[in-house]
Amino acid sequence: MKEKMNTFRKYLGIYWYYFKQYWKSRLVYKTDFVLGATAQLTSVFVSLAFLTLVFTQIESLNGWTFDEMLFLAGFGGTAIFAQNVFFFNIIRLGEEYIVKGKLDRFLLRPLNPLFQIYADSVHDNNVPKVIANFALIIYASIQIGLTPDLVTIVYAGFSMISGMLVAASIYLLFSSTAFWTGTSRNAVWLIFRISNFRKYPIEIFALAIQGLLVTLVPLAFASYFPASFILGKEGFETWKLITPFIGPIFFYIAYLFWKLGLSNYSSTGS
Amino acid sequence: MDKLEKYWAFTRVGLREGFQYRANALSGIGSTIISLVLFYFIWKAIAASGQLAQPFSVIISYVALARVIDNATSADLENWIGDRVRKGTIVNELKRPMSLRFQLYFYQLGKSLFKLIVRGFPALIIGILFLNVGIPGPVAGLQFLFSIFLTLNLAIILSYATSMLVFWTKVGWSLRMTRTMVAGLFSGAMIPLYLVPDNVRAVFNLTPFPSMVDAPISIYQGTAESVVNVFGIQLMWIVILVLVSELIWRKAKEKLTVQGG
Repeated sequence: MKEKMNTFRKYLGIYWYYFKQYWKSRLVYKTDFVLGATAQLTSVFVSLAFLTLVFTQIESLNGWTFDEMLFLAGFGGTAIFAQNVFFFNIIRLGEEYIVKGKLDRFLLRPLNPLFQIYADSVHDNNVPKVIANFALIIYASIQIGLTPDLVTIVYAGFSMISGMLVAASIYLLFSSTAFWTGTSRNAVWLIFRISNFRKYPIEIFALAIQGLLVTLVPLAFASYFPASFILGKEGFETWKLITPFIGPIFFYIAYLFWKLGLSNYSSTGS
Repeated sequence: MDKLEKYWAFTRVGLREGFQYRANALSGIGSTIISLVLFYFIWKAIAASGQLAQPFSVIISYVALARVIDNATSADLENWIGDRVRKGTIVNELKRPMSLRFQLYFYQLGKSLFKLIVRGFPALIIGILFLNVGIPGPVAGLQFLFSIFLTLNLAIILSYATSMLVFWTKVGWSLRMTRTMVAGLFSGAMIPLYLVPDNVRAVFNLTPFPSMVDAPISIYQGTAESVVNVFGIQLMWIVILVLVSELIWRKAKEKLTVQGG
């Protein structure tokens, strides 16, 4: 146990070192941050505008009011974009690390190669998006008049962390296909598309899509299940109960898949 | 004649790139289908939750066409220029005895034609088979194809105009993301414009975006009051955007710094 703690501390220290390095190079392209943040915020505004326009036509969507939809979007958004800040770099596994041979350098160092990929970049332009989505949660909660008890707050906290791990596990799982295909971009693009499903009540989708959202792309655990528990919606009781604990399990499975890919990896020699 | 061949060479490069990266084409079809599925269920739920101006079967055919047009006519010159400006290799393009705008136009035309064929047609067939999209008569069909050609031009020129900003910003992906997000909302790609409240739609119509998706759909579905008007507005926006991008390019030329690298 003590040894494990020491390893953890060592990795944390190294991460801090990487982090400082990153910021030094970051300052070179300041406009990249500003424009990236603008783009991310625009995407939040556009999906809000879409929802607003839709709700000029209807009172509620499958029993969900406008404010409840905001809460749903905000919860999932916060989980996904918060983990994006630290765990997004894995999506470059194919194009940046395998094809260009950078992974070889990581394998020579006495550090976990996955850690090195994560630590190689910080996606700080996601931060404004996290703030915007968190603001959505707060705003929607006030509008709805939510008065959560202690259990609900603890549940929300655990589910948020679990949801971040779920999102991280999806990126890790799909990016790791690059060990066989040499590219992770296309797989990740599909995930981006599928991740839009998280903003809607899962019942509106066909059963096959619901199945997808709890297995291969388990975003329901980062969005619909926790949000509907907190809002006191009926249904999916067992799913809601396992939500706060499921994140580490998904991440472990994705990590095993990553290790399988890594053992299968042979350098491009470039 | 010689000139035409020169331009065609760029179109061929664009087409060839499309064929070379077959995996990208496949995932392009995949993402079109995913967005068709997503929008199908969203609009089904919306239609079931209230009284809309049109029945679900009419709305879904608009939404499906919108997804097809939006996905098949996307252009991405921002990243292309962004890469070259950062690496400094943009000098190679600037040295050629042909203006940058024509090189980019014909290159993107090739890429877009590939996308139109590989992404557009399969998705359109899915729409016709499953989503009540319907088949237009021969005249409307030809008019639709012409309108799509104008949309393609609008998409390329718009992308070109924003890509000129890369000479200041040095990065392209965020410019492109912002552009496609805004365009998606205003063009009708996400929500049929006849469901948008009148005063909001009036604002949308001050932008070129409705001419990119809503316009060809109105021709396909025969809801356009005057087809000539639709073409006229599309052409007007093409002229305006050409002028705007030319202005930005003139400024950009003064500003142009080539990074040695």
